[in-house]
Parts: sequence; structure tokens; C-alpha cells
Amino acid sequence: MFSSPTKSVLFVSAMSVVLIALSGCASATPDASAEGPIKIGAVSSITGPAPFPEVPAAAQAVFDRVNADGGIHGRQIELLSKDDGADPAQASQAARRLIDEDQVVAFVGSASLVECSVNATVYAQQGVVSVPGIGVEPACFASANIAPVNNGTIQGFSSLLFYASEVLGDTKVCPIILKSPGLTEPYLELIARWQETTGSKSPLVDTTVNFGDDPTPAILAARDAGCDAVVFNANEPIAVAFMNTVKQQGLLDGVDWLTLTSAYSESVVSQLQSQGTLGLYANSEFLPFSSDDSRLDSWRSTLTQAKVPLTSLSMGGFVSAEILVEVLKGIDGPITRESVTTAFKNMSEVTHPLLGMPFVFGSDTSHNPNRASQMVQATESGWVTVSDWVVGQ
Amino acid sequence: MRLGKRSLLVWILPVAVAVALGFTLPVYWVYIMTAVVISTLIARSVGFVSIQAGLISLCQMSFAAIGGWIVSWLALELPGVAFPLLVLIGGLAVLPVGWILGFVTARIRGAELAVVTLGFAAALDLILRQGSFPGVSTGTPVTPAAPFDDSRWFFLFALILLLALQSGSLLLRRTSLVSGWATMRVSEKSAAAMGLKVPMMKASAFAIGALFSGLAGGLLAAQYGLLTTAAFSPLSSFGYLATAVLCGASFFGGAVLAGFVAVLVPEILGRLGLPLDLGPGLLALGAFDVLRRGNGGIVERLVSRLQDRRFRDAQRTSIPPAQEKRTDGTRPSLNPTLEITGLSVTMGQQLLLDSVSLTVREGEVHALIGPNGAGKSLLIDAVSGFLPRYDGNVVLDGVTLNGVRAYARARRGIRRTFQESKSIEGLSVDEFLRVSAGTARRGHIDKVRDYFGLPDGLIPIRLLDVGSRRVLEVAGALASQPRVVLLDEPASGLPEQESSALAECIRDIPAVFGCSVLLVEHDIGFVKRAAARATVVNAGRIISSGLVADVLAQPEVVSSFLGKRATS
Amino acid sequence: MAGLVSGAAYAIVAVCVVVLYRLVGVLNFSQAALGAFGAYACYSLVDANFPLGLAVITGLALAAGIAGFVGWVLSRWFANPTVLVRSVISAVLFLLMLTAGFRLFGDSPRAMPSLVSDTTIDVAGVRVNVGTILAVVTALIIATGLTLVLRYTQVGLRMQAMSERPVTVALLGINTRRLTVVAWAMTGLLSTLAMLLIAPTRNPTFESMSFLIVPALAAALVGSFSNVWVTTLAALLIGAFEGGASRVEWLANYRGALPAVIIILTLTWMRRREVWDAVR
Repeated sequence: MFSSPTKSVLFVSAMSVVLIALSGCASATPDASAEGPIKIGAVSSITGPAPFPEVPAAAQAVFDRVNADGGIHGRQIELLSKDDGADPAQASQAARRLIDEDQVVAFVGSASLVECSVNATVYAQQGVVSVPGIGVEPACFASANIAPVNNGTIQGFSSLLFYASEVLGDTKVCPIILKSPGLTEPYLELIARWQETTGSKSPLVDTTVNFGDDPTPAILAARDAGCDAVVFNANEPIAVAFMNTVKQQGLLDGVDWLTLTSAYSESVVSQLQSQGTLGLYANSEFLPFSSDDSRLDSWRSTLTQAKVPLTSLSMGGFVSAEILVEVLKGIDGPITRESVTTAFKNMSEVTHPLLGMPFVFGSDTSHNPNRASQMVQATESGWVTVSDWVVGQ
Repeated sequence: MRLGKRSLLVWILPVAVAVALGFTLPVYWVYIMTAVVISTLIARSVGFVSIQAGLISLCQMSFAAIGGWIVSWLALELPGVAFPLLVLIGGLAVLPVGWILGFVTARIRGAELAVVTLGFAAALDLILRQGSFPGVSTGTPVTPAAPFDDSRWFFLFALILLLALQSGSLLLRRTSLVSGWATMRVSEKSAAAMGLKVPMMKASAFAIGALFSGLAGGLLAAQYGLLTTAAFSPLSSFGYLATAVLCGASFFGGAVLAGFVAVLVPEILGRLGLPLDLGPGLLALGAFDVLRRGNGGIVERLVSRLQDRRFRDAQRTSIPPAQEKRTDGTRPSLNPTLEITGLSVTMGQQLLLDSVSLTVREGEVHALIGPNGAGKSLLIDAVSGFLPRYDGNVVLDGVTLNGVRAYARARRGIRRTFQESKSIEGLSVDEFLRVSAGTARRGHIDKVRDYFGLPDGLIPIRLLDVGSRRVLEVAGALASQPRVVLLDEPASGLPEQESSALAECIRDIPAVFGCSVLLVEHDIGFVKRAAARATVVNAGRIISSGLVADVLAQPEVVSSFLGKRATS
Repeated sequence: MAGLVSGAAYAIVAVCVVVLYRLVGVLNFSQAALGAFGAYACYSLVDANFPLGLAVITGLALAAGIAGFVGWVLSRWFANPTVLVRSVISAVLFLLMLTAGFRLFGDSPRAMPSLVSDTTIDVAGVRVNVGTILAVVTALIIATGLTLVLRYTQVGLRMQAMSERPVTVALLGINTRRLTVVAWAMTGLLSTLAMLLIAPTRNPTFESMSFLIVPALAAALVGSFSNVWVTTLAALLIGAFEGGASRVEWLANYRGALPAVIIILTLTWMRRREVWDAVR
């Protein structure tokens, strides 16, 4: 049947599209980019299986503070933070809406599980840059217009390997890679590079367990291979579960366990404490938030005032927002998408107290500007900083 | 399918509007419309496989993933090639995957099939996670060759693709594939009894679904540039199943509606500042409201209602024209059409049919009577090929049918009806007759229609009363010009008047259609009117055979019906 | 050995799925998610310093309540739904449970105290948690218990009758709606129990708990959605296989996919003679 009902559905749908479009057109202010508030976009996974709401929230806190001090050249900064629910379709729609309708001049403070891959092309085509607070996907570190302020999993893993072999002096460092999509090959390449540079040989490189599955087989394999250090990738809950299994298998002492920065949080360390599985090392991609360093005061006060949780992730939002402010201040002339993009691509290095390396965007085809981490260890009194900046090669 | 000036205009207008919108609306809205087209393709895919063919599939997004993978790979290997061609190749490449899956799972049904498809989806997701989609590791996105790198031309291409596929589906309706699916969905046995090959039909349903999904996946490759497994998660198949069923995606309009719902609901939530995870909640509310009434999704119910209104005053019962009693100039010849010799059926230890032999001669109506449980329906099943094993011989026109499968027997000229009514509610009278007729000529179908006085061909079967449905089933069996029809209690459920009218129709079938009849019936009056000879079966054994009048006079026969004491 | 914990979890969930499917005809994709809901409710209460016993009872009751409510809604408003409608209901329920769970429970790790003391014993060179043994034993007890309940108790017999002839049973004056609600609530409670046993050993997220339904369904499929014992055995084997196959190099990467392939092949072979569906 393709008669009346189809007709009516099509007409109704067409009309509704036109109506919404018209309403959309009405609200989109043409060429507002040279006056009025400076519009910044962010696409983050705020709902869904692994939410990061504090990252754009931290960026917002920075902008609130800057606006209270008069803004940039008299213009206020307006952050339009959208949720993608960890759905690529929503991430794509949100970014395009921000670009086409809201006319944002840049993306800052994003933290999403899926948006880099679907939006990389759009950012490049529309000539807009993105400085995510936390980049998760490999695509975040392999695109011309995206430069996250965090290390990313590959770089973080690299610094852990270097720390284990060069600083802790472990000779049988075994990486266990819990497989997530698209990351296994880069991990293996990284491990090969590390082995070349340091001359270390791993008795075991385990890639048999999928992210989220029971890690026991891999842990037992590490025991059987006689490893004295294990570096593994994990997120918060997996790190806790992993260490629990380690303890169950009686391997807590005698082996160094190192994992990625996702484990570096208050909830993880309190779980580790109650489990009795202390001693885990993690890398901190920013200045460790658990320390008393006075360089953390600005971050602390800005976020506390905005009631944003003080986590390692939130530092990503904070740092990316402050870098944007720096770059914006340095722009002569009108602040438009073109001028902002040019400014980022031609910027000179910006140092930030929370970063171990200066940040620079540049005009390469891929960006991973922050490659330095400090190491922290889980102890009875919480996370303790145990090293200075380590840069994985 | 009448494509008059009016319906052509009615089609062209919305398409023209859509194209105009594609070139005038802001780029964002063009992107949205493209997203709607892609979602429509996926919803239509669900419509084919799960709604029309009744195969619950949770792996439609997996087909899209394969399509997306192939197109991404091709786009990187052959950058200069026109993008539409790459999308077509991608879609066609997925088609055999669907075909194989449908064929392999032909004997797996219902919930089990759902689980198997979910397992397939989960397995594919796992395999795709081992690496990454083409181009992702190097950060090289899929960029269609000009002019399709422009969103507007891309939308135009997507729209044309959708319309081309829709036209293709309409052509498909000319074949009896779609009607075959509707039959198969209700009863696989009925489908086989019509000569349809059920595994082939399932395979074709999955194949077409895979084609639609694969093309959608190819379009997604260009929409996103860099694909990840998150874009094709098994969970999204759940969402599409629900949305497609809710909107009634067995119709094109329903699929379009589903496409709009899938894209615009999150859009509106985002604009209103509401959290995105209200989406599933809204879907649940919609599904609850629409589905609890039990007559399908939104568009399907709309269509039903329009049909109800259109046929409200139409004749809905069959009124066979009065048959003059044909004289016995039609003396049946002695040539046997159907010979059953030594048919025995055992189930476990029990002997259900004991060496039954029966001959249906050319041009005769032969009744098979006996008390309940005597084994009559079992005999019909054996003869028509629905029993896996039996001893004995079934010969049609001198050729043995042993070892021949049910659908093949139907094609060779044995047609049957079933004791329980298996009315195919999704079809109209005409569609049912056409799918039953197979390759028989149109003229023959009309002849059958007129002979039984069936209602107008466009009336949906669900609007017919019980009696007419039974008559329709008999008509369907005849529509294919068979050699012999096996009618299993055709009068059950009919009121007296219609019953006698049917009896007379059946009596004259051999004269009018040149086909013999084996009639299983309880109603003795019916048998006397319709049949010339009869065979009586009791407890799996033949107790009498001969002319109807003679047989019915025998005391053993009477007592087998009424019990031993009642012999008079 | 390592995979037996998972196997036990799959078994309990699978048995619940099979029982619910036989009784009310709905293939419940959310079986594991319902259990996860109850388990997470329990752990949230523990975080809020409730005593463990009370938290466990609350969690079980909550899951039973939610499941029973779902059963009530379905029996009240959906009379005799088609297979397609039932599948859609199950799909929508799954999406709803996941969404609600993500929103309520997020993905931060939380304390997941074991229901038994955290002792390990040495079994053949691998240290096995007492919880593992308990999980396996519980799975077997549940399988036995449900079989006995269904076959020998009044309620069980009525439920079986209802699944075959709902109209007849209703005409006999038996409250089918109450039976449906009881069936749903019972399976919801048992799934929570399964999660409470598994969680301490793996510390899973809400999402990974909910997705335990996939291997559970695979086990149910091997049992043809009817045989509780075959289902249990299959689930334990799937768990063991997932654990064991990681040792074999070429299998390891794909061991998650193999059960699906094996099951499709097994089923196709098993059904090769069943040309015609018994129902149709």
C-alpha cells in the first residue's frame, strides 16, 4: 500500500522538517561571530555508560571566572556544551549543529567516547579546531584539527612502561593489553618502540582478554612468565577488579602493578584501601591533584567555587579552557572562527602549571602535545606522588 | 499496480519538495534529512525481515557494519571512483551474507532465531573490535569524490537511492515473494502446501534486508568519515527493531516515520535541553500505547482503518452462483490420478495407519470418512508430503512421490487445505489467490473467483467471515490448476446453507476444472452431496470402500460412527 | 577454573530466562539487567552504611518488585501478543533498564562485599575463591529447585498449565495475572542473587553485568529454551571455555565469538529433522 497513508506521512514529515528548520533559522544569528559573546562548543558523553560531566563543567567554571573579570576584549565567553550519550549519531548531530547553527569559533573542553572519529572530518572541512579536555579515542590523536590536552591512552601507557623499566628498574616488564576497538595495534607498536629504545625484553605481551572481561587468565599468564612488573590499561572499575584478582592470586607483593590514569581517582583509592590491594601505580597526565602543590590552588578554587568535582579528569577541562583563553587574548583583530583556527595553528608554545610539557597546536596532521606524566601510587593515606615528569618516547 | 496520472503526481510532489528542501535549507538540516534517509533504510530493512517475513532479527546493524566496512575500504583503495558506485558495491556485497544467514537459520524460529541473530551481531562486533575500520588508524576519513563531498548532493544521492529501492520493492510486489512471506509468517506449512520453498523465502528476506542495511552502512561511512563499532552496536539493532515495529515499517511510509522518529526525537530533546536518555523512555511509552492494541504499528493501523472504511459496504462473503446439477455425463473415468498403496505410519510404538490403500480416479470426488482420530488428516499429511517418514507408496499420474518434499509435491499438482483454518490475514483475496496459483494464468484465477462467488479481490482477508475464509482456502487450492486437491474438512465451521452450497461446488470441481478431489469430511449430508465414491477409515484401517450410497448403508460403517449398540 | 564463576552466573541467568520464557512466552533480554539493578541497589545501600544483610534483602526485594511490576503491566495490557510484539517489548525493556541503570549507577567502582567471607583455598594450583564454589553450587541448586518447584508444587503446576493453556487455566478460576507476576518476581530475585555472587569477584560495571545476558542466552539456546539441566551445563561449559581458550593462542582473540558460531551450527544440526515447527 503506498497510497494515502504514505502520502500523509510524507507530507506531515516534510512540513515538520520545514517548521523546525524555520525555527532553527530564526534563532541562528547571522555572522554574530564578530560581536556579542564568543561562542565555544563542546561535545561530551554526559549520559551513557561512562559519563564525563566534570570535564566541560570545569571548562565552564574557567569561563565563568574569566567573564566575571571582564571577558576577552570586552566580550563574554559562552560555552555551549552538548551531550552525545556515547552515540556517534548524536555526537555528529551535536557538533554540526554547533558549527552550522550556533557558529561556534572553536571546540574546547570536550570529553567523549565517540565524537572525535565522527567529527574529525567535519572539523577539518569547516576549518574549526577542537581542544578536547580529555581525548579517549585514537582518532582524537590522529586528526589535523584535534589536539587534546591529555596524554591519551597510548602515551600514558608509554610513560608507564618507561617508568617501570627505567626508574623502578624492573627487568621483566609485561604489558597486559585489555582489548578495546582500534587500540591493540597502536599499543603493540608502542611496546615495540619501547623495547627498541630501552633494550628491554618482555617475557609476555598479553592481548587475550577483552576490555571488561575477567582478567584472571592474563594475570595467571603473567605469573607463569615470571614478570616483575605488569603494565595494564583499565578504567576505574576494571582497575579495582583487576587488583582484586591480583590479590586473590597472591601476586600483590613481588610484582609492580601499573595502570593508566583513569584509575587515578578518589573512589578507586578508597576501594583499593578497603580491598587491601594497595601499591598500584598510575600515571597522572596533569599535575597530580592529590598533592599539596601550590600550583593547584587556582584549579582548586575555580572549581570549588563552581561546585565541580575535583578529579583528575576535570583538570583536562580546566587546562583546555585556560589555554583557549591564552590564545584568544593573543589574537589581534576580530575573534572569528578563521582567526581562532589560524591562531591555534600558528601558536607558539604555551606553558601551564598543570602540564608537564608546553602545549602547542601546530599544523601537523596529528597532535598529541602533552606526552608527560607524573607517577602516583596508592597507599594507606591515599594517592602519593612518587616521581617527577616522565616522558614516554 | 495502477500508476495513473493522479498517483504519479502524488508521488512526484513530495519528492520535489524534498529535493527543493535539500538545496535551500541550511546545511545542518540537509545533514539531518540525510540521517533520516539512512535511518529509513535501516527501518525498512527491519520491516522486510522482521515484520513482513516474521523473522525476528537483531543483527540488522551488523549488516550495516559490513556495508560500512566495505565502502570505507573501497573509498580508500579507489579514491577517484564515483561514490554512489562504491555504496552500491558495498550493499550488493552484503546481500550474500544475508542470504547465507537466512538459509542457515531456516529451521530456527521465533525466539531462538532472535537469539541466534543477537549472537551473530555480538560475534561480529567482537571481530570488528579486534582492529579498526579502514582509515581510522591513520586518521584518513572516507571522503566521497566530488560532487558528493557536498552535503546537498550527497543528500540527493541518498534520496534517489531510497526512492529507487522503494520502486524496486514495489516491483517485488508483482512477484509472489511478498505474499509468500505473509503466508510463511502465518504458517510455514501453508506456504509449502502452495509450492513455495520456505528456506529460499527466508533467505531472500534476509538478503533484501541485508541489502538495505548494507547500503545504509555505506552511506554512514561518508556521513561520519571514520567509522567505529559504536556506530553499529548490537544495542542499536534493538532500538531499530522497536522503532520500526512501532511505526509500522512494513510500509514505506512507516519506515519513513521510523526514520524521522529515530533522528528527530534526540534532536528535539537536545534543543529543549532535556537529557538524551529520555529517548528510550519515550520509545517505551510509544511502543506501549501502539502495540498493546495488537494490530501492528502506526502506519499499519492507519492502513487497516482505511481499508475498513473503504470496504465497509462491500460484499464480504462468498456467494457461489447456483450450480445446475450437472448430469452424470461426467462419468469419471477409471484412470487413477492418485494411487495410495500400503500406506503405514507409526509413531513410536503405535501404528497410526495400517496399510491403507486408496485410489482417486480421474474426474471423481472421492470422500474419506471415519470417526475422529481415525487417521484421515494423517493420511492427507502423508500424501502431501508433510510426514517425514511413512511406509507405502504414493503415486501421482503414474509417477511415485516418495521422497519428494512437500513444496515439490504441490508443484507437481497435489494441493491441499488444512483442518484448522490458516487464513493469511495480511493479504487481500487477490493476493492470496495469486500466490496460491503460482504460475497458473490470470484467466484461471478469475475462473476460480467466479466459480466460488468470492468477494472483490482487493478486500483484505481479515475482513472476511469465517465461512468465506474456508471457501477461499479451497479456491486457493484450485487456483494452481492441480491434478488433485485434498480437502481436509472444508465445511467445518460453516453454517448449513453455505455448507450445502460448498458441497455442490465441490461436486462439480472435476467437471469444471478437470481436477480430482479427495474430500475428508464428517458431515454425512455433505459427503452425500459432494462425493461419488467413498472410503471409510477407522482406527487406521480401511473398513469399506465403494460408491457413497453403498458404503453408508453398511452396518460396520454406521457402527463405527455411532458406536456398536446403535446399529439399526 | 577461572571461568566457572562466569559460568555459574550465566547458568543462573539462563535458567531464569528459560523458565520465564516457558511460563509467559517472553524472551527476557533484561534478565541480567534486572539482577544488576538489584545488586547495585544493594551496593549503594552498603555505601550509605546500611548493614549488609539489610542491603541484600532490599536489593532482592527491589529487583523482585521491578520485575513483578513489569509482569503486571504486561499481563494487564498485553493480552496474547504476537511473537514480534513480545520481542519488541523485551527489547524496549532492555533499553529502558540500561538507560535507568546508567543514570542511577554510573560507572564508578563501588564496594562489592562478598556474601561469604573472602577466603581462598588451593585447588589444583589455582587459588579459588570460596565465592566461586558457592556460585557454582548455587547455580545447581537453583536449577534443581526450579525443576522441583515447577513439577511438584501447586504453584508450579499451575504455572505450567498456564503456559500451555492460558484460557483454560483462567476459566478454572486460577488467577493467571498473579501467576505471571509471581513468575517475573521470582526470576528477578534469582538473577539478583546471581549478580550478588558474581560481582565481588569481578567488580563489574552495570553495563558489563547487563551484558552477561548474551552468553546466558547462548546457554539457553543450547538447552532449546526448555531443558533446564542442559542449559546449566552449557552455561558452565561456556564459562570454562572462555577461561580456558585464552591459553590457546589462535583461539584466544576470538573466543568470545566461537560460542555463537558453535551454537548456530549445533542448532542447525539439531533441527535438521524438524522441518515443520510443531506449533505451525
